[in-house]
Amino acid sequence: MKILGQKSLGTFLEKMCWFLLAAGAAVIAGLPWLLGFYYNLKQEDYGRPVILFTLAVLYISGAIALAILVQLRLILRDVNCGSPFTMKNARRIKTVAWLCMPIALLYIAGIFTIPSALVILIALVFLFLAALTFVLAEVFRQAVLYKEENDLTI
Amino acid sequence: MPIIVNLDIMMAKRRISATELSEKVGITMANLSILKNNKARAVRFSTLEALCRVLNCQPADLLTYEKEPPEGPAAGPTDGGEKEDH
Repeated sequence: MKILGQKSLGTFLEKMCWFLLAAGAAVIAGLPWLLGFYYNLKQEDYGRPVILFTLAVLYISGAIALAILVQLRLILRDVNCGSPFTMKNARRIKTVAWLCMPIALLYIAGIFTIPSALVILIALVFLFLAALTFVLAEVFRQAVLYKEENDLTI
Repeated sequence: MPIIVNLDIMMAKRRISATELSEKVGITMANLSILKNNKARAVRFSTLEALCRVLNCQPADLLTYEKEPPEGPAAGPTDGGEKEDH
């Protein structure tokens, strides 16, 4: 299976990002109805403050997730064009790391308010992702420096 | 960069063009240009060996070291001259 280049897994993922962006935007737009449907299914009434707080968390984390997808799509575009190791991509990975932080903090705040066990899981996952992505961003940045040094070694 | 690559001088002495040199050495024209314009950060021994072989010269004919002038307006003489006592 071809991983990078034309007609590869990388190209497929880049196209998937467009689909996920559109789907994500549609989900964010329909959040009030989706949340109402979910609460009807559970047959629970948590009160207006909880519902509003949950909506706010979902809207903000949804918007940030879309921003992460945009960065990932740009990274995949450069990777598929044959120039993955650039400072721009290193900065994009660091941006993704920074974007994971507010999502983690939002869901940590939601532990005390949103009545769902998934909240703490999402908070922990995004905390871990943020830390890991910071490390990856630094590794990538050093790889770019090595590449630049190698490019100017004749 | 204190290391100066004197490729142009040797190429003129041996009357060899950049295209011919790059083909015989086995590097691209772009890399040869980087070397000639002192933009290279490092040179592999294999490349240096190929250049010396094609140009029939020694590495010292191609590479010279020029000390960079010290920075700052208060920089004194750099020839290691002795300070005068007043």
